[in-house]
Amino acid sequence: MDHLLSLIVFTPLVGVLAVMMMPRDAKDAMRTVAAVATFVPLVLATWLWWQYDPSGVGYQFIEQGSWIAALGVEYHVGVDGLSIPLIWLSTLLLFLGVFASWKIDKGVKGYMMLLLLLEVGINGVFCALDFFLFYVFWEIMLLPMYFLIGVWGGPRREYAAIKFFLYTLAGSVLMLLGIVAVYLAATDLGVTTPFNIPLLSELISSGQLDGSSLVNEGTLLGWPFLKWIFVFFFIGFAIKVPIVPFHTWLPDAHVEAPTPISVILAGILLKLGCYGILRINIQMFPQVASEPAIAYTGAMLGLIAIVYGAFVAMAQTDFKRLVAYSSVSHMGYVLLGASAFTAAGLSGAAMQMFTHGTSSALLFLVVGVVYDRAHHREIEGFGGLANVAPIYTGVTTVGMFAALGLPSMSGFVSEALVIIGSWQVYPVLASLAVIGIVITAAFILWTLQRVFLGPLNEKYKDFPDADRRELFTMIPLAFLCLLFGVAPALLLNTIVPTIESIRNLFA
Amino acid sequence: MSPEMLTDLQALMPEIWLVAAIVVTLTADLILGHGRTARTVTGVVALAGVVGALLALGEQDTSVPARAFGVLSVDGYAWFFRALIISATGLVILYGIIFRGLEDRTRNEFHPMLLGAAFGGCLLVSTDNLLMLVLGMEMLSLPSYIMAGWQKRERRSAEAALKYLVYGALASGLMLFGFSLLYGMSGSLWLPDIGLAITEQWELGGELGRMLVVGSTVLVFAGIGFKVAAFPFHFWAPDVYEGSPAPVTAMLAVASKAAGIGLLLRFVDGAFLGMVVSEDWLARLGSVTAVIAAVTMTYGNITAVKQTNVKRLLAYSSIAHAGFLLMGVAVMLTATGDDRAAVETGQQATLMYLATYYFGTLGAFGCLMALADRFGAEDLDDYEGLGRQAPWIGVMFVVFLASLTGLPPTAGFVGKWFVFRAAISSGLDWLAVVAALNAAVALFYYMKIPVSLFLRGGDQPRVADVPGLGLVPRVANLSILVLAAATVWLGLMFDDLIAWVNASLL
Repeated sequence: MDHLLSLIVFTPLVGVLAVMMMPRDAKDAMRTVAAVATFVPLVLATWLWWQYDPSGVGYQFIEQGSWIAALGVEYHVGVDGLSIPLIWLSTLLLFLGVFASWKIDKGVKGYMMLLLLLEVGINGVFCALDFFLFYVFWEIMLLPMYFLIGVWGGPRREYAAIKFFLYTLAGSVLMLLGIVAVYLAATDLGVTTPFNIPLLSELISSGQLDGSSLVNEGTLLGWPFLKWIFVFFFIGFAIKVPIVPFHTWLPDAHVEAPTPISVILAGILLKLGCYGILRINIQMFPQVASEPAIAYTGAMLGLIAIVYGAFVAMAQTDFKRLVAYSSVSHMGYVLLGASAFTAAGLSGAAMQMFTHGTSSALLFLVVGVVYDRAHHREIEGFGGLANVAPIYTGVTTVGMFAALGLPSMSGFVSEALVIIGSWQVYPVLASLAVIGIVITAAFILWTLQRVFLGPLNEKYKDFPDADRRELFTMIPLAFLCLLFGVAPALLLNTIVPTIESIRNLFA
Repeated sequence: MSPEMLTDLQALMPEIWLVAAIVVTLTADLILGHGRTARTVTGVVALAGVVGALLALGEQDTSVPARAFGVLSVDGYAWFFRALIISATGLVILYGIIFRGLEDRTRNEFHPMLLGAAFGGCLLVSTDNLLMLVLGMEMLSLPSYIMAGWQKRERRSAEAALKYLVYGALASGLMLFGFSLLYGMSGSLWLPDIGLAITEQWELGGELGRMLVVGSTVLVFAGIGFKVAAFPFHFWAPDVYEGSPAPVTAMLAVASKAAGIGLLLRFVDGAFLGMVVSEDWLARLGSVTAVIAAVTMTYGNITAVKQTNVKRLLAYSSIAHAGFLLMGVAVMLTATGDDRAAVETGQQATLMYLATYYFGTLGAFGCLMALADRFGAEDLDDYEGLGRQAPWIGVMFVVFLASLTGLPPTAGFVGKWFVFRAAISSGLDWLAVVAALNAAVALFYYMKIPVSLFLRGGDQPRVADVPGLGLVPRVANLSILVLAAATVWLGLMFDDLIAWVNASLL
């Protein structure tokens, strides 16, 4: 399989074309095509993970060829231990997302095409090793997401969609300026492939590329060139994560988005920002990233997100908004762990991306089930659902416990690693982060109690339990939450060698 | 006929095709009257003239720059701009045939006007002789004034024509006065001579000489500024763009603007960069241009945000795009000394941007006209829900708007990439940052169109004003589809475009 990555990335595109050719009324057929077009990448991604050799050095499954010769742009893809779990997760969530979308009846054709196009962008970003390619895939995600929220979303969808779009675009134009600057600096050095991410990482981390050909002595307005570029990239990715204070688009987008889109947004799109920080900010600019002031700022921002997100989540009365803010909090762990630059911290950050991807996706599916039946999401409006929907409650409990980081659940392992890893460097911040864990536990248990336990709200005495389709989307995620809690090594075996090679940059 | 004359005529073949089409359409209109046959014949002849011109252009070999009749340069640069202008005219003719706002009685006379404007544009971009520049400029402008007022019964159209005429005449006057000063300084109509004279006056002419240089430059730049609708010479544009019939607006926004940019680059290159001109003078001119570029794009974008009429919105956005085009000119002027590579970077950026702007704008106007044709929709409110009614047009509209915003994978991103690169590489980082922020603002108002098309509106389908699509609308839609495909294709595969632009540099 020489072109495994390309197949994973572009199979959904075949699905887009197939759906485009189908008549508008063949709804079930289009859903089936979408399911197949997302299932194939899932199978391929599973095969990819199976075939991946964790002990190998650097990127694997590389495909490289000239694309735009005049600019030195290449079609260059490859994966390592950081990207493989995320690719697998994204193919899984998209596949489950198609089933979660089965009941969507308005504009099925457009919906499925956009969903599949979104998958192309997501997997493309995780695979791309060429900056130009990376940026193209990054932006391919924008329009589908905009329309998926804007057309199929809730009452305030228009506001939420444009807010999402503007925030993300503002971030990506900053990123674009960073890419242009790095490209120019690299061309001045005589590099023939000035977008090659591994090559640029090597040049920058070894100090050969410092922008002195572009700006005087490599400094601009008192700051080193590379620091500016670092900040540009960081803001670009931070908006996507989102890191407080760039997070305000997220709750709006989540609340208005249809369930499957929330699932993908929380499960994968947020990880793209984290992935960018790890892949570009840390791996390409290790010197800047590890400057004490910058690293401390990063850790501090992570801490703020953890504690602030948790407190705000606790104050929510809307179930979906609560899960959205809990995502803000959980993404803080990634930043905190990554800013510590310890083996445990970085591995924890990488693992947190995956575990949060499963648990938050599960929780959004859970919220979707409640909303489908009750047509509202007020936490106070329920009560005692466990009495009528035991299976549904069981699955929910798994997701919630994984989110709060109960031992034996996947969230526990990653959060513990982050706390341990950052403790070695920032004992004060790490101990403050524990506040976040306590608050998270509090609001999750409180929610569980208000919605599922206690006396049954008479309005919902005919609340049906989860049906087979819903279970089909939720059970795999619940299983993963348990699996990686009991056997984290399955995941860490892939991640850790790559993390070690990143850490060597700081040695 | 001497052999030289034959080769000279050969170089003019595209223009000859255009002129022939003008003559035939005019005669056909006289002989056949205003009936259906006449309309068909004039339309077909006009399109045939454009196709012939393009074919003739295709046969030209510009690898070795040549001159024709002593006043026209037949180089890759002229080729590039003529190709843009003539092909855009072809599409506008097609749009004009489906456009309902034109009265059937006068539709036939519309074609010679369009072709005449195209002819003027072609001359304008091929010459480095001041006299020819003025002639080309007037040949382009006069039919445009008339076409702007083509909907005689519409107040807005009449107002547009009058406004355009008054400001256009003022611009021509200013430019002509500037030219006369330049001629007075140099005693020549030829741009390289003028460049020499400018250097001489600046270095040796003392106070008076410098005033002369500054004065004439400001006058010429003001004239060109009017043509490309750059701040602060833009104020005619929104009213004229909104009031003119939509095909004419497309012509003004694409062909006319391309001709203006073509003139500007040739003038800058010939008069200022050909010789070693005093550096502080160029640097000053460069910073002024950079500031004008920044103000133009910011003004255009911020004003566009408030618009509710789609045509007016695109008009303001086209002012903003003029700012992006000027970025490359600022880079050319900022290049110090005889750094030809930097000059070419700026030129390349402008040409790349123009080529990508061409697809986005023509396509967007095509979609605008298709929606106006089928649903009579003009305002954002009228657009509500139309995306579900006409999904193809809606989706293509989104593609063009994404391109105008500069989102990959569309051609517009490539254009933005080149102007950003040029600005950063020549130390105009601040301009690049301003431009990047402008891209985000542009997104905000461009997205209003898809918002109306897809996000708003009830589920009741709007009834199309025109139930079935005739042959011509189908062809027009097909041409929009081709533009959309090209927009995406050029966003992914632009090696050939770069090669073409590089071969077209002055």
